[in-house]
Amino acid sequence: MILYARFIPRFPTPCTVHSCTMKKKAASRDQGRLGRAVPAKKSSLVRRKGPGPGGPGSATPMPEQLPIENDEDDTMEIHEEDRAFVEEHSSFAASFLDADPRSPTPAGSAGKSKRAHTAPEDNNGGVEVPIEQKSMRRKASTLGWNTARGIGHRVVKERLPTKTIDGKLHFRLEEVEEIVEDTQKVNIVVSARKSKEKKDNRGGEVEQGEEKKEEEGEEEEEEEEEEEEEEEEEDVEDDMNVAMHSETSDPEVLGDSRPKNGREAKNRSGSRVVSGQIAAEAESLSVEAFGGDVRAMRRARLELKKTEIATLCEAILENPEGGLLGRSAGGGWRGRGSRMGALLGALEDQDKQVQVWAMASLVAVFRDLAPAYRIRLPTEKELQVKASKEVKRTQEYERVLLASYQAYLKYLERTSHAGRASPSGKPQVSPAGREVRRSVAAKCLCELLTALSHFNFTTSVLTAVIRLGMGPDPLTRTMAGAAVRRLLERDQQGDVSLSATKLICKEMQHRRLQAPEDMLRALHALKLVVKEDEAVEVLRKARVHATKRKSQQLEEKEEDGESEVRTGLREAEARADPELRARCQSESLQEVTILYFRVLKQARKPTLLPAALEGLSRVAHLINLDTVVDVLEVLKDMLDPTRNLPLGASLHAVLTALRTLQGPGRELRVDDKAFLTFLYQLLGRVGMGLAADSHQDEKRTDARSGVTIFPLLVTCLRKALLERREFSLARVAAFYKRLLGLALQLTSPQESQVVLGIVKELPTRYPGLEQMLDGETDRVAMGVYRPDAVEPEMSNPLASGAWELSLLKVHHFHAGVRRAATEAITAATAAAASTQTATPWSSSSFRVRDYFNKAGKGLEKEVAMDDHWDFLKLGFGGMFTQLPRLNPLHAMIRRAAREKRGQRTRLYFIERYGNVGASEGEGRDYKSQFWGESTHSRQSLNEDLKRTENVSFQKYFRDTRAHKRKLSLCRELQRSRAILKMYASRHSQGKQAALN
Amino acid sequence: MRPLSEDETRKVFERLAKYVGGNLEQLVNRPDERYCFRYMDQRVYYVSERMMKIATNFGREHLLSIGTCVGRFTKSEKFHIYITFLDYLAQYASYKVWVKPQSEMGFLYGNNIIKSGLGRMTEGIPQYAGVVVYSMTDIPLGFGVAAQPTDVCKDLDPGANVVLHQGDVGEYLRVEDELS
Repeated sequence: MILYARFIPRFPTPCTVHSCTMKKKAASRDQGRLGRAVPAKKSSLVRRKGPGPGGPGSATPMPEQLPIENDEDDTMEIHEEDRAFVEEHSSFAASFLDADPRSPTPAGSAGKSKRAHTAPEDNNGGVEVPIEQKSMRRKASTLGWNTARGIGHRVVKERLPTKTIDGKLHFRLEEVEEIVEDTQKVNIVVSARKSKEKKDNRGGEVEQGEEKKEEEGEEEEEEEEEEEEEEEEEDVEDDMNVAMHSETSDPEVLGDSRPKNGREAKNRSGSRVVSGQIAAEAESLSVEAFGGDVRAMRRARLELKKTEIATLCEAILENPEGGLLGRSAGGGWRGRGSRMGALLGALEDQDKQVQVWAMASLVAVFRDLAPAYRIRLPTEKELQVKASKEVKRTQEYERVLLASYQAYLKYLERTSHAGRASPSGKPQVSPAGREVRRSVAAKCLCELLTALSHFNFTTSVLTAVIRLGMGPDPLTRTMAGAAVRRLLERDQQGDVSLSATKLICKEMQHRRLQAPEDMLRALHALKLVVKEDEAVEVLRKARVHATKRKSQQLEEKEEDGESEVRTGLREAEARADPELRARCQSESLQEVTILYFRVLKQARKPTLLPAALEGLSRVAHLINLDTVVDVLEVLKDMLDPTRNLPLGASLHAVLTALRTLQGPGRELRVDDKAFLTFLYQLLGRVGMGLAADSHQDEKRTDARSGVTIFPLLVTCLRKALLERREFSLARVAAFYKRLLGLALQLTSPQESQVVLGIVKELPTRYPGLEQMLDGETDRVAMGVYRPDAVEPEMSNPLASGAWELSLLKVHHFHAGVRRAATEAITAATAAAASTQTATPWSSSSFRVRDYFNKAGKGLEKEVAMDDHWDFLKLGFGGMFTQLPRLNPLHAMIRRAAREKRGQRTRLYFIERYGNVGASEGEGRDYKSQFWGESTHSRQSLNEDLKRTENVSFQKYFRDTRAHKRKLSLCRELQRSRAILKMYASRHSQGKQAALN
Repeated sequence: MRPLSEDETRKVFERLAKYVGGNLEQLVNRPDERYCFRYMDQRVYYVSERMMKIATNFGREHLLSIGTCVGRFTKSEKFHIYITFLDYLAQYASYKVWVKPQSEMGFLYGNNIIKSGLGRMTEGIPQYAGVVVYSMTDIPLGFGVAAQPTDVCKDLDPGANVVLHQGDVGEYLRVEDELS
């Protein structure tokens, strides 16, 4: 016997609308079949016999509708067993029968009446209506309802364990909250314990799996996938919260608490029975059975629910079509048709914990179910066309999949915004539980955004995530930001990026740029490679091509099929279409640039400035000449010292300007004086900032953006001085001087070394700088150096010398810095030499000379030790791994010495300005002044040296020295190790003695 | 030799400010030594105070020139800057223009700089502002007046004037007599 039940919501206003529409539809379809019951206060279950022609299984003209989406599904079948079951547990059933079957929360029920309106447009060819439009409507109706209904009722309906009690027990709000939290704690304990058991159970599972294999090979694979999914989520969500922790515990393990035979009897048809059984069992739990212990009851119920969700997910994944289309055996939460329906029903379970589990599980399910293409629902016309049974079934499946996905998304969207939507007058019910639910929903949305960006409703998900990314909760914001960033990074074609960009820009504008910066920062991940001008070119070509093709088509109309073939081919090509990509990228670029401009110009919220500047610096090289002028205009405003921009943002502004001027702005032929002056001032600020405590954190990182200042500064300097040609020597010299000052000021030797690296490269690019290394007497200069000058040109740097270098070279405490300074000096003089004399050997020979130019003999050893001292690890670095090989020249000399036995070997090396110095032996006694010139006269040139290019004296000396130094160091260290050991042993002996 | 009158000072400074702008102050208050402007035979000289004191030992008829000649007052009491002052102008110039090598000679023969010869220019030069002209290797070549503001320059056709010639180092050869 089959029964039809009809639940009528108790809420007057929405209900009337709802039932009216219902009636019409139902009447038109099957007049005799539907029954309608007048809702009573209590049990309002009205049963009628189903005299319909073929019962529920018969082919109705309209296809079977979705659980949430459609209203026809109100009529549902209840199996005989369940009826008996309900009668048996009438005390419990009474309390749940009077409720609206779909929605335990009033918001849901109010929303349902709305769905009656929106349903047709939802089914309209898969048109993606942004969720929020609907949610707005829903909100409005929720408000109306809230004023009509009392709060107490709502509270009672939302309470978890107390609901089943027949009205005598009334928990107060606070008490209920406490219970919720307590049980959550218990849950952790339970899950922790279970996860221990999990390992033990593994063996048993394998056996079970093998059994199953005999029955069905695929099932196990599916299951394992599911398990992996769950585990994956565990990874992702371990930072989330309590609820998610307990969610991730393995369903297999929790099988302990449920009947064993359920697990064993599971197969394709069996799983359905199992889930039904579990559900029924879960509903049948009563407080009495637990001796009034509400917590214990909840715990037991949760266990059962968890198992049920897991079983449902498994079953759906085993057989997606069956899971979505087939009807389960009347069990489930609300007995809503398919397993998917049941799973969706779990979203609106009384228990928040269950909702959370269902949410998380559904992500995994949809991720697996969703096809790799966007589903397009058949139009009315297409539906009328006769199709085979299989096609129809596929269509049906896709439709249901889409509708369930939509329903799920709506739920997520609603839940993730739930907290804020509530009017302030309402008491906050269980804020902790709601918070958990909200953050889980947000997480699910983010997950879906990246996993299913190719699927339908991407725009809706994107909108929701972007909203979250601009919401008040920082955790959710970062999550959303990361999701959007991932989406942008993965996007190849650029269309998703474009829609994301557009949405973000729109939303920012909508909020009048008063949003947190997370979304703005997410936009930095935008992969833009197509220049604005190039894009224009591509588009122009495409347009020409299109018109040509059109005219061709007009001429030869008979080749109509060809274009179809072409589009088909293009689709099959499965690679990014350059035209489309160019169009998308140029549009995205435009949107983004405009957004940045707005932020920079309005900038009511200065926190957005750094993000916008950073973003602008990333796209600066792509914009076209017209935009360049505007960009420079805006950036000049930024340079105003009264704005007091943070250091990171200032550097980004300079970087943006430099990139623009060197990229698209090259045609302007503009001297970037303003920005260089600003950079010059910033350098001073960096140097000063180190001393002042207030700038301490500003120096290292720009707190919010997490951008480290120093690399940015180095990038700017390289861009300004090395990557472009600066014409004004005075300007370069000013930077040179200031950088030297900075190298002296910086407290970190590593940073000093980096600065010295730039200092080293400058003279090679600008040989004129060499004069700064000359002594005071040698230089012809007017005036004095003014380090305090605002503009670099005004500081008259050439009147000063680079005395900092010798200071650093001789007196700095860190060997690395000393070495870097030495190299900087070498490079400067070498550069000068290479310009003054064009002899091929001059520059390399010069290095040979400088090699001997150590500041002092006594310093040598110290340098060697310091070289290998690792400041980070506070120990000697890995220097003893291998000794350097001896230079081939060494062997040559040895051989020469052997051959000319008794004679002295004579070595020549080349001096600056082409002079050739000679010395006896291995050139040990050579003396040279660094600043001055060599007085050695030219004698002869070593012909060997000229021949062997790769064997240079310089390298030879370096290698031999390094070899010797390392050897001596090894010995020294061994000695010191022995000493240390000795001390240690003595120490321990002393201890022993003391103990004894 | 005498200090400038108030009117003369104003005229000289106004003219100089066209080229060096706010840096004029640095020209007068130098950190190394005190410098001053002196009037002699319709010409204005920029001298260090020490040299000026030494020069007082010479009579007017014996003294030809001291320090650096800034320029001269014309018969109609207008002040013209001479190319001799270029070193200081170049040091403190607020607006600069760099000339491409191929049109360097043109400028040094006293012609204006046209768009095609423009290598680079400072941003934000207003129209008719005084600019100092450099070669691409940053050697000062002369000075002049911007015919167009910087913003307009990018849209000009290649033959249009960008800088109107006022003085160049070629004058040392061409008008040697006048300069001394």
